[in-house]
Amino acid sequence: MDESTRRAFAQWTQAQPAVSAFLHALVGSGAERDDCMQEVAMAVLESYDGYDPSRPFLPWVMGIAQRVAADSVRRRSRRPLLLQPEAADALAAAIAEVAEVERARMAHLADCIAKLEGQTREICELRYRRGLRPAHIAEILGIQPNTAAKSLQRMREQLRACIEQRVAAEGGA
Amino acid sequence: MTDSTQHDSSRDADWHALLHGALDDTLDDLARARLNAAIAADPARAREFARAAMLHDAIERELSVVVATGRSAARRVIWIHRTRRVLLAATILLAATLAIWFGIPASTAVAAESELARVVAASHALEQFGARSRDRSYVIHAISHDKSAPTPSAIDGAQFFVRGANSYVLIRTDETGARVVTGSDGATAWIVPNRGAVRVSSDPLRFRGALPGSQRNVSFLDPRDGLTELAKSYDLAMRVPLVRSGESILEAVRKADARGGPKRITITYDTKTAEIHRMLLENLPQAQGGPRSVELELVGNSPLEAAFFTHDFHHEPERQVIRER
Repeated sequence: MDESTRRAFAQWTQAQPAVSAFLHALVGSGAERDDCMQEVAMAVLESYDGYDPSRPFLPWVMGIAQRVAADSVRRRSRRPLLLQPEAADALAAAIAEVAEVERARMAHLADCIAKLEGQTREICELRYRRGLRPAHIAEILGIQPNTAAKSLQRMREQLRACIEQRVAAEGGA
Repeated sequence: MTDSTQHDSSRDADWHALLHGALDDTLDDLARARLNAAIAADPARAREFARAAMLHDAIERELSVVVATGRSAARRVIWIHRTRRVLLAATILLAATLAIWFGIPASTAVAAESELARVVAASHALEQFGARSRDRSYVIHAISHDKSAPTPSAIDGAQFFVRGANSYVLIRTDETGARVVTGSDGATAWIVPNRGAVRVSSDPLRFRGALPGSQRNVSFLDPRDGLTELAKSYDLAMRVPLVRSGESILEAVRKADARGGPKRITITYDTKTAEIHRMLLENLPQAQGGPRSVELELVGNSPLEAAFFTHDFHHEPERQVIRER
């Protein structure tokens, strides 16, 4: 591994959670997001010599990710990206802004997930481990789709609150 | 509550419904347009969406990687273990490269060991970089050298899907021709027979009987995971590369004092990327049945869905599920 690849590897490792979240928001979860991640990683490797190290890495790689996501949607001729270019640009900038702090906060996520109980835990598993949408979750649990959607929202808010509490307890920002 | 605060709170509720609807992919076109407008017009909303998107993505990654409790610790251990393995392999590769540059003669066996290190290092490094998925799809071919052998083995033609060292799905037909799916998500093992109840065990090593090599303690799921151990029990040699096809061949013959495992393993891989295309396991011990030789042929490396390694993915929701301890 040469020096340039080593640097690219280190920066990409730092950037991965942010890029993954961005692609997740643009193309959704699962195989398409993972395919896009691979393409972005390859593009970073191939074009790293053209990257200006005096500029921040994350916005550069977000630009690549946005192009890769748009190409992926074009190739698959499926419904357009969730976010149009203007909103995608705004989200890319926002993720670049919050990524470092959020990445550190996610260190508490596993412990917070472990604290989920009962139906909240079940809903979390159905949504994230099994990749089910609210309508399908509702069918399995015998509840209304709106209730499932609301429960998912509350579960994420609960996880966020748990993370914030732990950060505060550590004396973090 | 004033009219204005009521208005603000209802606007907030609307925004949060949009935000979470986007994460769960439940927005219609009109709602998508409103979400786009909100994010593009208001940097605070964009930041809130950014934080929610990072949490959403992190939850999915957290739950789809390691299932057991103590997940973070387990993950760190896996990361350190893999990093060490890659670094070790990369060091061996570097040594081999230097030997070639400085004209240090190397025996065929050393060249083969370096080549093995390169295959393992390249493979894992690309996965860690994220440039290659962790998922592999294989077709299993049972090979019988005995022409008088009766019917082909039930494992012949089976589809075998692997993610890392612990998750797999094996789709095969049994001796009666019925479809059987077995698998593990790393935390549990399960079997989905053609008829009757689905069985789920909290022992992830259950239901592995049909896997090639499992009757003989050949411990591999991801064929590459066994490679690092290969040099200990096998003599390695490079066969003449098939240059025109871009493939190289590494042959491993079991050492005289080694016990268990196939007598010969032949690995055919892409010379440039080190992606393993085929793995032939020959002269498997026959004491506990199974075919004499099997070949795993790589047919795909696209990422599989997160739920693919769970039993629910492979049967209708109404099937009875029996949970074993």
